[in-house]
Amino acid sequence: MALPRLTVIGIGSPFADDRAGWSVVETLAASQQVAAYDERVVVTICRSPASELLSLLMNTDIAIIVDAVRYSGAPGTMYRLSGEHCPLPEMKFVSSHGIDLKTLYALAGALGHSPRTLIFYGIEAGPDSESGLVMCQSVQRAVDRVAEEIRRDVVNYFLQE
Amino acid sequence: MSEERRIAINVPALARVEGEGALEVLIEADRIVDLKLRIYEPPRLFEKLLEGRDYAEVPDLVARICGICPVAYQMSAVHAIESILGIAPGPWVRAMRRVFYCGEWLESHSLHIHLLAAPDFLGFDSVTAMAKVYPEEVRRGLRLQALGNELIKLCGARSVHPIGARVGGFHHAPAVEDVNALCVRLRAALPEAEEVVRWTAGMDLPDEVQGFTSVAMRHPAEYPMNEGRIVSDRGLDLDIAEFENRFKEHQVPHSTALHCLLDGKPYLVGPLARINLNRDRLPDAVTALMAETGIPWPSANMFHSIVARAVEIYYALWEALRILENYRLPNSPGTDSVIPVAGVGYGCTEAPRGLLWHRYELNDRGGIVTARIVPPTSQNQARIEEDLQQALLAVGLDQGEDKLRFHCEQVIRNYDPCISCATHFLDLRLQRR
Repeated sequence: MALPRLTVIGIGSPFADDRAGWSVVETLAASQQVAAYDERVVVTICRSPASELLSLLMNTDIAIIVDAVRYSGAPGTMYRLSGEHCPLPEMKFVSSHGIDLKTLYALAGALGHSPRTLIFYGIEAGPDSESGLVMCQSVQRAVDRVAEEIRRDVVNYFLQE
Repeated sequence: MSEERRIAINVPALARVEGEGALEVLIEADRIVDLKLRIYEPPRLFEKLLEGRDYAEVPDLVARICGICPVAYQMSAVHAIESILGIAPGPWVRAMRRVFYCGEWLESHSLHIHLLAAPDFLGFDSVTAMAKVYPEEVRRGLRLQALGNELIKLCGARSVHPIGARVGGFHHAPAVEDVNALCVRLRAALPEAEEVVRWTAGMDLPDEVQGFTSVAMRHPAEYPMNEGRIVSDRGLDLDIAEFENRFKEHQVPHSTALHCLLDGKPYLVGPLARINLNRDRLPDAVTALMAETGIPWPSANMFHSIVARAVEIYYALWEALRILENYRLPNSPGTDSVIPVAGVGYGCTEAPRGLLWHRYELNDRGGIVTARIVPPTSQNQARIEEDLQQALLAVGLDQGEDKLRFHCEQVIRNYDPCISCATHFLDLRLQRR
């Protein structure tokens, strides 16, 4: 029987707080604890959800996704969504430039290849989230917290298996 | 009794691509009094951002203009700058730039056909709903898109905002084994691409013939990508340096996106225009398949755009194979000896959505003095409005609100506009007086 696959996907860009997802993935990539499961765990950044995310979702059993979000909290606030009815962030329409996570997850499901478990981590971005190359301190601290949470998810998942 | 209907179609903002748009149609009795495609997307001022930068920075900067067609922006830019600096990169670079472009057409067209346009013609409100009935077709589209991404990555090191292109050539030459592995996949994809052409041609496409001017590049021997003159089916035949003499961009009060007109009139750029003007430059395998569709090319039915995109997918596979099956490692992937000179240069290439024209002025240190970029969506905006006028009349102004809205959405989507947030979800508010 093939080993289950777990993929941690950091969505974002090189800019300011929008970099949060990438930073979490970079932290995890350097983590010995996650590397111990390297045959079954993939950590990767995603530059363009429209063109890259669907194939990542369709080729894993467990997907853990991290992205910067704008919701209602203070910069650095962490959100964790999971479960069967994970209320994924949704945009109101689809274009070739932007397809929301909820649509991609539903599309993977319609094609019979959705991950059986999906966990979404959001990190509240600051008001100036896309200019410059440096994350604000609140978001930087949240990156470390989320990386720790995901480490725990990974370990728990493989302990259960 | 006259009936007046005011239709306001609003498009909400799109995450990551800020923008806002609406379609406003004012109908009085049996005529359209006013029709405006409103685009509120804030100007991004890329041309001003380029000023003062070194010429060598331009390819990476302009790649950021679009996540779906960065290759086009890079190619128009490098050709323009090379024309100023007197660089002739040679046949290896020239061929690999076509491969680079094939990847972008493949990726962009596959995405548009399968995820955005096909649901319209097959009676679904989304690709998710369509995928439940046509899962293999959607998977096929995703495979072709992924293959396009691989081609871009081969030349550009990554598929999104590639970083492999530079003035003078590329930073890196692909390894022979990587090229050979990709050739196997490209050849295996040919039957799938053939099926996409047959599938799109077999759709129940609206039968709406319109009068419009097709504009595209034309090369003496090749299907146009990076080089050629600008031609139309109404006799235009222009050097790219003369673009500004005949094509004029102007602001309209209802849109932040400039409208571009040819001699004061709307025109079409993009896959359908390219095929209408250049089908004699396609290889026999492609023209044979086009003949099989039964569509009388050149076509004046804008809805044949989806078939034109499918044909270009098939062509892109053949063209990439033609080049890559004869691939040899070069001594150098580009020209390194560059002496900055002052001057003005032009670049015009065929982005997936049509003609992409650039003009740069350099100072004698190689710094950008001015830059001007005319993207295809700007050129198609006036044509979209013209099309909407004609399409609404064709479908019948007395039709119900839902049907009119859907048809407007279908017409706009059919152009695959890069102001994509303005095209997929139209929130109709109908007022009757």
